[in-house]
Amino acid sequence: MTLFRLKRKVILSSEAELYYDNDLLQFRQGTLKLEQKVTGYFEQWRDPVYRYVVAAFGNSAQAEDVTQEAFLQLYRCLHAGQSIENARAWVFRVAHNLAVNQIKSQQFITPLDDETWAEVRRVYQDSSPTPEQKLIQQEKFDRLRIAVTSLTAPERQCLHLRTKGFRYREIAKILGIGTTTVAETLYRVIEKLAKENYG
Amino acid sequence: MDNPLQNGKNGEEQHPPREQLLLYVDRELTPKWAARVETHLGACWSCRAQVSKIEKSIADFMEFDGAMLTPCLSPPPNSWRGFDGALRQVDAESGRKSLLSIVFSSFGGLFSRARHLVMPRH
Repeated sequence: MTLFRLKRKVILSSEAELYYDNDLLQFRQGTLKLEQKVTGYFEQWRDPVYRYVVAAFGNSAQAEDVTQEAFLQLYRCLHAGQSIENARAWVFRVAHNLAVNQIKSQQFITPLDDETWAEVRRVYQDSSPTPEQKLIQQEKFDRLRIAVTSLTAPERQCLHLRTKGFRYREIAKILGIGTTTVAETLYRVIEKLAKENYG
Repeated sequence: MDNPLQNGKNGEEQHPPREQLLLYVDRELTPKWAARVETHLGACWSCRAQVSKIEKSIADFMEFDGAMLTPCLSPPPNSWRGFDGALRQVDAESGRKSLLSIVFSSFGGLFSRARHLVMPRH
């Protein structure tokens, strides 16, 4: 009787080991799936996030690190079992906060410096049919360049987040400000662009 | 958003403030106020011209963004080379912790069973 009980216990122990092995296997598989998921997000969103950080904070050297770190933080949070409703906005918010901490203290370096501008302007292939229309187009771009370089940091941030397709509420959450402030800021941006373009 | 249309002294509907027209263009007004602005625009050429100007400014900027601004942004210096390695490192750090907890819980279960085997029951 005792021997039978002992055997049964051993069998139970083996089943338990098997159960733990399965659990471990599922955990490993789950981790692999999560890694693939975050890598997929990274490939899909890294360029918009990077462009936002460069355009809004003006430092391409740190923008790459900031972007990567935002996705690594996403992985850490998901791995820890945290539920994230809007992963895209979440990544932008983390990247924005990292950029604020790491880049904001430095001077904003506009990506539209004279040398780069002249080069891009030269390479740009305009589809306008006549030289006069091409000239008008180039003058319009020159005016918009002046308007864009005159924007304040919050104006740049709201504008570039809006161009990435975020709604006002999402922008407010990413920047940690009110929706009304987003609306007012975007209106100021539009006014500046229109004033420079139409006088 | 608040009422975009201001009422005049005689109660007649006046023009919505200009900033509300941007909210209208961006579909940020509630359906009720969006409908009121829509009705107002049907009658008011002045506000329609304002809406047109806002939309033109947005279109011009988006054209500028694609044609000039984006090409001006320098590409990532390391071409994202560090990400896979960094993710593996984070995975190893997170995984190690969880594996240990699983191993400990496994041993814990086995020890409790072994105790029942060894210890006589009263």
